[in-house]
Amino acid sequence: MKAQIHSGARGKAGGIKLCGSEDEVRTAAKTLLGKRLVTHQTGPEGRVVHRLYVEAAVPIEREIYLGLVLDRKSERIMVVASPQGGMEIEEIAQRSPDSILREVVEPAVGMTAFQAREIAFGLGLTPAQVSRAVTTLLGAYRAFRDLDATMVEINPLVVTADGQLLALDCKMTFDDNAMFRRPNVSELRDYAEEDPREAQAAEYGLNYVALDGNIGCIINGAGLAMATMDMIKHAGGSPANFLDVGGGASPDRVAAAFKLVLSDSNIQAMLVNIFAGINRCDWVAQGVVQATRETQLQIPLVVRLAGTNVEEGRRILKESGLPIITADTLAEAAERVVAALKSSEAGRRSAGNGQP
Amino acid sequence: MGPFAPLRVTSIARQRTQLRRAPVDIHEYQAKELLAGFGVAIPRGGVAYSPEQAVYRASEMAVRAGR
Repeated sequence: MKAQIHSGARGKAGGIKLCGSEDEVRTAAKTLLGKRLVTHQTGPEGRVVHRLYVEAAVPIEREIYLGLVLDRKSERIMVVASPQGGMEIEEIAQRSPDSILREVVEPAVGMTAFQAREIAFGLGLTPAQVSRAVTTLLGAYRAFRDLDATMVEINPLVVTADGQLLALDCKMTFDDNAMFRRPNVSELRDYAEEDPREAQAAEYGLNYVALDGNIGCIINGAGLAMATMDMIKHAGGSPANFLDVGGGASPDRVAAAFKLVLSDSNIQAMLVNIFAGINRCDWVAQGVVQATRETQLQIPLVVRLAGTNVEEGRRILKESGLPIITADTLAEAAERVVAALKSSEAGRRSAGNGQP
Repeated sequence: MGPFAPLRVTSIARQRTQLRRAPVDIHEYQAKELLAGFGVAIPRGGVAYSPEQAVYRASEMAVRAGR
């Protein structure tokens, strides 16, 4: 019985249990479901098990490593194989680098049977096993290509006592940008395994990455978002997220972004930095005012607007009567948000001291 | 912090590497089902969301194994 979480090394974390009877299956399932598994890939917070895979145990004679990856150097799909399977490829590369076989596939031709046979013979398989390995290799390659994968890993591919080749553990990852044409793959996405805020952001078409600071950021343009994060750090603060609202953001989208960023409980100040080219400052301002009212924002908010309709945007902020701190430049905005954060922290401390 | 304090860029640089769009991940059993569709041989198995379903999956396999 195998816990299904998006992580390798589940065995070491107690996520794989061998069961000999129905009672053992029931007990193991009760133990695993709802359990938080921590592996070296999940980070300290781990992953909660919601699904199990019950699989027939097979008598293993040999373990082989088989992987298909995108090789950036040759700009091709590359097959990586090793007769030393069962451990991670990084470990194989360290322990026996000479055992690793590599084969680059020409995209115009696809993987040829002779390439597959060469790998199979290189793995030291018997003639009967070689033909099975060829089927596996060609199948894995076609799956990679036809499903827009970025990685297929079969580790271990086992040779059973009766000479069969079985994929005992598989991992596949796919190109996010190709999901529009792979509905059968994208429907397999398990959002419980992904950061809920990042999943929500994807729904709104926002580019959001959670970070570990306390200043929430809403910015247009990935480059400006990066520069803003650098400026916050420079001013002595720490950004809680990366967020690019994109071009042509409507007031609703800005408000959605605002609420999304605020759903992080670490946020103690907000910074909106918009350099409007395709965007419109008045729309952004409307979104900010709407979200500030709806969420009854209690923390400092700094807004810097520049570009298209900036005067109108500033007027909307001013006339809203909300305690919004404005700034004219990026550096000023970063300094003001950090200063506002520090003074609100100091305010809270003194308020706390005032109580018995 | 003075005006000439060094930029604290190390942690941002580390975070930048995480900003690349993450590839779409799927579960082991889903990868197996997809690969099986392309002719890759996999052991018999089935997904379960509850202990009852797990027991049912196990009994299914026992029947197919002729036990």
